Amino acid sequence: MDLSQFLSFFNSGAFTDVIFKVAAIFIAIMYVLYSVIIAKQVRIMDKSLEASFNQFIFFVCSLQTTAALILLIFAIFIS
Amino acid sequence: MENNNKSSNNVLFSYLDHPDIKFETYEPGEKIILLLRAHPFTQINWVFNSVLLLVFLLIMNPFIGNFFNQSQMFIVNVFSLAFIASYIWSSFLDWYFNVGIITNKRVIDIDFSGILYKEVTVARLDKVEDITIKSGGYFEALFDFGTIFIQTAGMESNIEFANVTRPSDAVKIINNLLGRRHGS
Repeated sequence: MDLSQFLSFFNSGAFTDVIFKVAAIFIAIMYVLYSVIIAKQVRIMDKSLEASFNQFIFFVCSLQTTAALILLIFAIFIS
Repeated sequence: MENNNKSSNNVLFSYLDHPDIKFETYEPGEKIILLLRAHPFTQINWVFNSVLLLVFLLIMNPFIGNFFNQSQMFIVNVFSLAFIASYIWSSFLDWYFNVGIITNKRVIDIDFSGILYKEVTVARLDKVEDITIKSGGYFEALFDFGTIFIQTAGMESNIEFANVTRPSDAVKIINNLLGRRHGS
């Protein structure tokens, strides 16, 4: 890649696309980690307070983790 | 998240008489008399913030649309909605799992601050020395909520139930239990 190609890469908007993609993937990975930590923590919370409603909470936590993984796939392939 | 004046087994209430629950340090033969949570009105903060964030996202959409292409806008919106949903969810969990439990033997305060930090304080009823209710302000009077401080004797930790529903009824129940224990 010579200098003119390098400069045109910055001017074409491709550079901002790459930055956006890297940021989106990074945020998506952080969100996956967050959702997994919340799911684990809810298991600990369930031991502290056991109630029938907790099943619904587990369900929502698994939904959140699934959504986070879908977001990560979106960030990798769509953005 | 409701406030109910009658006994109920709906675990989403903030004042539960004889709830159908168990807790970590449950002792065989122990009867759970009361479960207390913060009054739903005290949660209005995060509900308001969530609505504000949603409105902000709607308002900002046409402006940030100039900087991103269609697929990037989709990602930005989905991420923003995921962030707001996570904020709502963690705030709800914070409310739901921060409880005060009164049994026929003990008073237990389960606190999760920021979801990740857990603190469980337990005091035996025979160690309870003094109970104070702090309830001041228009909203506290209107919605009947306040903070209960339970002072204990010796090395046992003091307990605080913050912004709980119907604090005077809860204290009455504790006093009845204390009277029963001291009388027996």
